[in-house]
Amino acid sequence: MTFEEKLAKLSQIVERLEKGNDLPLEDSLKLFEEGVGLVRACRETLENAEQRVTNVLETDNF
Amino acid sequence: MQLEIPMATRTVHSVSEITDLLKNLIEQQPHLQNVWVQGQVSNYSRSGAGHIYFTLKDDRSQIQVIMFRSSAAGLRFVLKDGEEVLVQGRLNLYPARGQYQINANKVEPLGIGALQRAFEDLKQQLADEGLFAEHHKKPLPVFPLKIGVITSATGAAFQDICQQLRKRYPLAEVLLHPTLVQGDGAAEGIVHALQAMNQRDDIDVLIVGRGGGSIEDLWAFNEEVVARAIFASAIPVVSAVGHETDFTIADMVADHRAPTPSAAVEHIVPDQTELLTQLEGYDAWLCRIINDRFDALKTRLQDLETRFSPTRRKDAIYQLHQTLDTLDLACRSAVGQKLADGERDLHTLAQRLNALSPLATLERGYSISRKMNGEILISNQQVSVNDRIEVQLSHGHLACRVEAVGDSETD
Repeated sequence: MTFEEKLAKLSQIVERLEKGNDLPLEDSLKLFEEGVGLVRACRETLENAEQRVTNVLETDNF
Repeated sequence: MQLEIPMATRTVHSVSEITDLLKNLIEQQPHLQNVWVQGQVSNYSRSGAGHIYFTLKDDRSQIQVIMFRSSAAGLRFVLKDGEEVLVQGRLNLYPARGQYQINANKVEPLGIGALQRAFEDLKQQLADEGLFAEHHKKPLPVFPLKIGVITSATGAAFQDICQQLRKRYPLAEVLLHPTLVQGDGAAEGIVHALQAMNQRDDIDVLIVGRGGGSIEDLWAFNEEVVARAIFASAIPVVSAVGHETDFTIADMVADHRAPTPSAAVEHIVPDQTELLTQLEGYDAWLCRIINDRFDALKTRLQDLETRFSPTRRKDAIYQLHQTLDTLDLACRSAVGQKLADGERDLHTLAQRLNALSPLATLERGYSISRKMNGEILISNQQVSVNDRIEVQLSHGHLACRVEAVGDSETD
C-alpha cells in the first residue's frame, strides 16, 4: 500500500468504527488494531523517509 | 581588320562556373558571413515548409532575405511588410537564380524592445489558440510519489527544490532531468526533457523551472516550443521560473504557476508536520472510539452480572416466598369470609323457616289432633266414639277419647 492508500484506509476504519455500534466487539478490535497499525506504519514511513534523488541522465553537465 | 583573340587564349566559362566563382567570392569573405543589416521588410512570405522570404529595402537598394525553417522557428515575433528590422545572417548566393541574398539567423524588430514584442506576440497567439485556458489545466496529485524536475543540475533552483522536499515531504522521490536553462539550446533542452519525462510512466508531477535572472536569462521559458511542449505534457506541469515578479509564457501554459522553485514544492506536496498531526488525531480518535465501546460493554456486563448475583437470586426466592404467603393469606381470608357468609345465610333461612312452622300457630292457641296412628284429624268423619286421639298443644299434649261425633258448628 502506498502512503496515500494507507491514509485513505485509516480514515475508512475510523469512520467505520465511529458508526459501528452494531459491529461485533471482535470486529471492532480487529479494525482498531488495523487502524493503530496503520497509524504506526504511516508515522514510521514519514519519520524514516530519506529523500531519494535520481538523475535520469546520470550526468550533471548542465 | 578585326583583331581576334585566338580561341586558344579565350577562357570560356559556363554560367555555373561563373556563378560558383562569385558564390565563393562572396561566401569566403569572413566579414560577409556575419552581418547585421537594417532595413524595411517587403514582399514577406512564408512557404508551406515554414521558410520565410522577404526583401529588405532602404531608400536606394534592396536585398533578398531567406530565413530557413530551423531559424524561423526561433522568430519571437510576427514579421510584417513595412516593418523596420535588424537582420543578422550570412551572405550567400543562390545559383539557381543568380541572386545573392542574406541567409538570416535572426530578425529583430526595431522600436519596442525586441524581446518584449516577441513575448506579447507569442502570448497573444497562444491565448488565441486556447493554450492558457483553464479547462486544459490538469489537477495535481495530492500525494506525489515521484516528482520529475527539469532544470539545471547545478542551479540554485534544484538545491532549493531538494531542500524544501526534504523538509516537507521526504517520501517523494526526485527524478532530475538536467538541462540547460539559458542560452543557445536551452529551449530545445527543456523540450527534450519534457518529452523524455513523458516517455516514463512513473512520474506524478513535473517541476520545470530555474532561479532568477534577467529577461534574457529566462527567455527559454518564453519560447513557443517550450510552451507547446508543456501544453502537450500528459504529466501535470508546475512552472517555477525566476522570482515572484517574473511571469513567463511557460507560467501561463503550465497547469500551475509557482512563483519560485521552493514554492512549487510547497504547492505540490503535503507538509509532513501536518500529516503527523493528522495521524496523531487518528490515533487518539481510534483509542477514544474503542474505549467508549469498551465502557459501554462493561456497563452492560455489570448490569447483567448484578442481575445474576447470588444475593439477587436469594432475594428473588424470598420474594417468591412472600408472594406465596400473601396468596395463602388471601386465600384463607377469602375462605373465612365465605364461611361467615354461609352461617349468616343459614341463620336467616332458619328464621324464615321457623316463621312457617305450625308450632308457631300452636303458640297462638291452636292445637293439632291425631289419631293414634299419627293421622292428623281434619274431619269428624275420621273418628268414631271411643276412639283415642292425641291432641298436641303448644306445650305438651293430651291423650283424649272421643265422646261424641258432632256436626260442624255450622251444621
